[in-house]
Amino acid sequence: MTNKLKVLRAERNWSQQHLADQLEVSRQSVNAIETGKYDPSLPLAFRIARLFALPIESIFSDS
Amino acid sequence: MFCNPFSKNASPAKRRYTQGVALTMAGYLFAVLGTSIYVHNHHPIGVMLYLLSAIPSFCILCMLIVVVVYLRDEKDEYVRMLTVRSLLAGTFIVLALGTFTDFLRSYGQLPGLPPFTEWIAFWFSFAIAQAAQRRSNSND
Repeated sequence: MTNKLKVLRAERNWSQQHLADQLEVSRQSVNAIETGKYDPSLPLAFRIARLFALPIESIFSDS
Repeated sequence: MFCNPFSKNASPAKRRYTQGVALTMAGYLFAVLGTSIYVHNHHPIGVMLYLLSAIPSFCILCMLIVVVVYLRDEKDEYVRMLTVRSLLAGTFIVLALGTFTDFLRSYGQLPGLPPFTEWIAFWFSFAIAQAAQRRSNSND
């Protein structure tokens, strides 16, 4: 699975720590998701989508 | 477990885990010291010896309870997954070591492992797995 988390974060000029604080996870989690080492659970993916006000499928794709 | 438990970014579960480990280890040290001195001086037998052996064992088992509580309370699913992976690594190493040495013992080549080898191997493997994953994560 790929995602646009890094791009979306960069567009808002947020640090990984800032994003992690908003999602209530650790910075390591954000880093692992951005680098594709970890695919978030559905609840966390929904939280990410809500935070960026985007549909899940526009952030995550299975390609 | 994967960042400084004393930092302001540490989760409440992680802080409780650190406190739990410190308390458990302190209890274990006192229990081992106390029971060892008692056994050395009074040479108890039977039920008393069983009870004295159970005291430090209970402290060690409390350590596992602290880990279970941490896994239950940690809200960060990625950190939780890394901890579970480390526990699996520790379990794998202990089972592999135990199986190998049991075969050696059954073939008459080894008298048996020294006491507590499994526990030391388990926590050592756990720590190595944690460090390896932390290093892998920080390389990005």
